Amino acid sequence: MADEFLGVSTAARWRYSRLIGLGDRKQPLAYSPCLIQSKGDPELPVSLSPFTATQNSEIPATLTITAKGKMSPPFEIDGPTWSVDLGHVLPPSLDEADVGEVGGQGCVLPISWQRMKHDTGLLSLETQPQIIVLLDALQLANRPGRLPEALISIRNLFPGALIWAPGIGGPDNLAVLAWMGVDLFDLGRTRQSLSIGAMLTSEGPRMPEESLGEVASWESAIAAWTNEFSSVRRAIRDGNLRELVEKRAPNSPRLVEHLRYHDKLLKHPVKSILSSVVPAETRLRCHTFSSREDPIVSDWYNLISQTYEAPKNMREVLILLPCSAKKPYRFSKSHKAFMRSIGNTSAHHVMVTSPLGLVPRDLERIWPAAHYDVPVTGDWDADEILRIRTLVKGYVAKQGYKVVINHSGVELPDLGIPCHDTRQGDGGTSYVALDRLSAKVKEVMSELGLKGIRGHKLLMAEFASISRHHGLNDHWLDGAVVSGKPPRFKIMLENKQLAQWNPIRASLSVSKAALPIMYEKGSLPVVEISMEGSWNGDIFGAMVVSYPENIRVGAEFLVVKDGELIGSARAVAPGFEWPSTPGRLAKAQHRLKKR
Amino acid sequence: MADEVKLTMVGGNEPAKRLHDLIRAPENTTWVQDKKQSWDGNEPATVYYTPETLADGTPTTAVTVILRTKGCHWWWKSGCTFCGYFNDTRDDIESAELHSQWEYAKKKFNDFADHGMVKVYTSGSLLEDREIAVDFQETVLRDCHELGKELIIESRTEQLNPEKLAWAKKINPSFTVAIGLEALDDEVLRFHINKGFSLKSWYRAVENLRAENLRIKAYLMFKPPFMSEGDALEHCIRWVKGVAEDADEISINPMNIQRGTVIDRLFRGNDYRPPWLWSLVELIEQTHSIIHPEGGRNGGEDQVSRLIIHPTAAGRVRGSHNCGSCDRDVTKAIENYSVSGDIRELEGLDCSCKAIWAEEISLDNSLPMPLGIGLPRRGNKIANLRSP
Repeated sequence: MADEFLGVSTAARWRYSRLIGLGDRKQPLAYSPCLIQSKGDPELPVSLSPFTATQNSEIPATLTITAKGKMSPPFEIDGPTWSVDLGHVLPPSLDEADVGEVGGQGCVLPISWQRMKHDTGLLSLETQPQIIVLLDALQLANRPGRLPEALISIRNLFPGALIWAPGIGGPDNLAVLAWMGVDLFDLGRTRQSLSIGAMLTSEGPRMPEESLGEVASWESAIAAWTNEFSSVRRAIRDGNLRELVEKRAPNSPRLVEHLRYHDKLLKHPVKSILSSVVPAETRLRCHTFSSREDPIVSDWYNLISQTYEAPKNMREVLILLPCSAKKPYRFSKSHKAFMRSIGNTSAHHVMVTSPLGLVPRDLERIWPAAHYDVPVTGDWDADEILRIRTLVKGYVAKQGYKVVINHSGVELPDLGIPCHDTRQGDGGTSYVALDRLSAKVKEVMSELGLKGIRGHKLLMAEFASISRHHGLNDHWLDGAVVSGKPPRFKIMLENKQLAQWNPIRASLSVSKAALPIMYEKGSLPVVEISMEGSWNGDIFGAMVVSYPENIRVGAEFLVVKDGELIGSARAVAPGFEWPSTPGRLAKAQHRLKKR
Repeated sequence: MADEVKLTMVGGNEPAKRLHDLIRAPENTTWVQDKKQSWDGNEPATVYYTPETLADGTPTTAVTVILRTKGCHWWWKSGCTFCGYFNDTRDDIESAELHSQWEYAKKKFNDFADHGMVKVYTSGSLLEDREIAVDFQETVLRDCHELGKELIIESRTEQLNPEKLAWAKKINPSFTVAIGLEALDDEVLRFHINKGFSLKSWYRAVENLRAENLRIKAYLMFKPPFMSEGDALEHCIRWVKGVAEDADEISINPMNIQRGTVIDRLFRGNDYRPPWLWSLVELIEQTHSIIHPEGGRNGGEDQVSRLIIHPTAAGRVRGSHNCGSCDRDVTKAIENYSVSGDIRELEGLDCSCKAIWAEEISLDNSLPMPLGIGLPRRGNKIANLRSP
């Protein structure tokens, strides 16, 4: 049985959640997240439940998982069918003990917290698992932090496998569990609910409302699952699963706990799960308190507080401005007014906002700064004020500004340098405040003897900053200039086009000519591949020799084979999925001709 | 800002412990040591009497004498996962103290004059010389024989060798040996119970006891640690069927939570719940035809063995329990069956929680969850169903 493989292809992904096509990738029979049908369940369509699971009654039991259609190459007969010994399982509360008797292994891998802690064989399995069964998921879910930690560990070690957490899933937590990487669900909790005449809905369990003829039935139960699968799958495709997660998490205290622990663990992820470039229509809707803990928000916070460097020629004067609903801010009426008042100067504009904290003007066009929405009430809550004050203080000290002009309206702590409040209680776009801003900028620039910077130089500084953020450095831009008309500005070096600003992707599209320079200057990450013959297709796991674990979706990198630069590609899978996720990891961008 | 991030996937810094270490750990705690030293070695742990049935089916009462001893020699080396008897022992109990305790019990119950049976329990094995002074073994055997009382003693299997049994038989020609078999499954004995003997040892003991024509009482554990309710029911039914021919009595011990044990730790960690009373009812219903093939009752001619279930702490969350509203009636029916062996004792039992139990059993048997899917049985049912 171990030789039978399940055909899988990734149709969409968002962080740890994926829409995996099951069967022939040209025409998948089903997609995950999905149900797995067990004894006692009603018969379900393959599109909803592509697998069955049965087990014998021995101790320890043997589990058999069967695909309900032709899902194993060459897709001629039903299958695959896998059987595995579940082994003995000690509960998580005895996790310091190693009984040394773990379950079997193969395409189905039974795993428990105890096995995760003690079975070193997991790190060198002969067969990479395609389905992982977390046998003690229920017990882990009852212990703070354990379930998120287990799921992140499993996801990172076996990125290509489908994860099943038996007995804990329902329409009420499907989004949260899928967010944490669970792919396969079962009807256990639905059956428990039906046994007391209750309905398990996407809002949690409840009794039916009889006045409207509602009944707790299999029909209503499957409808609840189907609706939620649709919502989750669509959200994965649209890149907005987090919004759904934040709606569902309050369904139970445990779910809130799981989400908080998950967010906490991903503040400093071992491997990247994030994107650096997203489709233009992707929104980061920060409508809830917990959205402040979204890993992309934490990542941005880390960026600003730890790694970001203001443009070299803009490190004397910092102008703090309020954010705007319209993104990028520069296209809003308020920011047009601010920029008119400030003029072309070398002052560095940084927007004060929530939940991102601070957004430098030079990064305002990119993800997530250009994509977030936050309800604007005009008031900051205590948490927001604390975060902003802490961030500003550290940021100012790190960048070495000499003067701060604070037009944000946020009262700041002592920053150790002169700080001028140009709002003084007035509205940001009020004439009096704008006049005050304009006057103070002129005064400060004059005092410091700073000159203005022309538009294209500002743009160059902006692109260099984006290059440092999306790549490794901006050295490849040394000596280059910006030319052309908005919005598709070009970056030229001695009449050679190095890159073009792509306003749809909100990133620089580098040219073939730039690749050798970037390679020489170490400006982009490098993925080394190995293969027979020349590189024709995209990047797949089997050809990867080395890769940066922090690679993000949408990030460009250089492709090297046998020590020679052969082109560039753009990641479609984040670092945690490299290199073992089946399917394409990156899409080729440029191929260099062999010299 | 730099939160500690630790993701578990093998290779932790601390060396792994053995299950054995966890079983033994509580005994070294101060509260256990203080408790042990607080006991008076000249008085038994407890003495009480309960209704019972003699071997021939005659109703009687039995005095149970639980002696304070040095405990079980298996505990000294390792110990069973569920055993909390170490709480009741003292390390310095010798023959003199044991005799004092025995005299205390005899005196309290007037040499057991009003009772037909005496059960002597030692938190170990009465016939184990390392635990119990031989002269005291002899005292118990002889006294009960001379007083004309049916005697039940407890023992592990290793002690029940032909020589020891022949010696004991000479002193008391008719007694019953109760053996904590716990499970008729080597995997369960080894992993779930950490029993320290195998079925081979059990069958050898049965053979030796049969050779001496001594009666056998087998204890079976219902729902040992690390086992789901569904597995517990399925396997306990098998075990009862498997031992019915060998044991004169089968006593089912539904797991209860004893302080300081591994199972106590699991219980506190939400990793274990004691059995449902409904499971015990189902066990009786499924095995009655084995115990009484012709549908009879205890004392009847069709009796193959006797099935006894006295759930300790029944109706409490640390013992076998249901939803709280039906526990009393269900427990009473189970207790009544244990005395009468009449399946009609279970007629008419029902409660809304029975459907929850039935679904739990069904799910335990169909989902890969070796530790079970069970939820709390008390409190708000809808709240209990909220997402874990």
